[in-house]
Amino acid sequence: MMLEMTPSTSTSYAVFASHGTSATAQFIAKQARSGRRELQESFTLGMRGKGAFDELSKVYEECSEPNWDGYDALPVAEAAYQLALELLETFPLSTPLPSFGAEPDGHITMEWYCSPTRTLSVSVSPEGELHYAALLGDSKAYGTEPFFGEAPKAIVDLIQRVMVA
Amino acid sequence: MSDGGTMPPIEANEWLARFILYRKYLRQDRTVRPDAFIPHPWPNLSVTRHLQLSQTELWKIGQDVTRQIGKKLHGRADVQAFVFQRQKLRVAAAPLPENPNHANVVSWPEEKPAQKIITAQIAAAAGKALDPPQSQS
Repeated sequence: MMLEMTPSTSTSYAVFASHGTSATAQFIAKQARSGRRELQESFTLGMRGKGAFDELSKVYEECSEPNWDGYDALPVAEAAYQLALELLETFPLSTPLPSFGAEPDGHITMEWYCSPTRTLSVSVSPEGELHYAALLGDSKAYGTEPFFGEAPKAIVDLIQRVMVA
Repeated sequence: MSDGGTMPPIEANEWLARFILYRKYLRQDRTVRPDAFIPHPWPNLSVTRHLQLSQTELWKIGQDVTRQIGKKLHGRADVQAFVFQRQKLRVAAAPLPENPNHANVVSWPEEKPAQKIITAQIAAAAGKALDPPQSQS
């Protein structure tokens, strides 16, 4: 017997986000996050299973001292690292694995790379801002999105545009 | 070695080198990530003009600097000055005692997203980094 899997609401963007403030809403959101974390452990679907968290941790370790790039780089702040971990957890489960890096101003970067002219870089700042820039062949996109516990739709859409083409 | 006292003005087609001292600035295919060109400390991006230097002399500059600060030289990204200039950046000669060919890329926007889209285009133009000579890596 074959089971056909299609994108369901459980793998969709921001489905577990809750803006409710009641005890019930908070409970549901907590349970949903817990379920999502278990799915992230999945080798097939989740970022954690694909080794993303280990690679991110290694970048943080390498870049947590000043001058890690030889040009007076600022150390990557723990806040930026923690926010990058949280951001990873919030991407739809089928999101392609980014590669990780750091910038000399202390931001963590996630990069989705198809070719030099088809790429998306997202910087995670310690203040919770997500600065992004994408080259999409003949066009480009860049800007800033706040991170409030949900992967911003603008960034999720850009990942698909960069990687699907 | 070029003479620091009589540095010629920077020409648009002049080659500039950015030494790569962090492994994750390079992708697995050896292309350069935009991260390597983020200006810091803002507003300068440090580069070395090729001018009349031989490849050996150019690598020696990078090797000397990395040795002094205890880092490993992972490669070199070469970019022509006009690649920066068409992004409305300016390349200014900034000779140093240990590197008369030193220059700074300046006039960067302050906003991070604007910096990122510029560095993405510079990285795309840079292509693949050059490997340091075996004896100097």
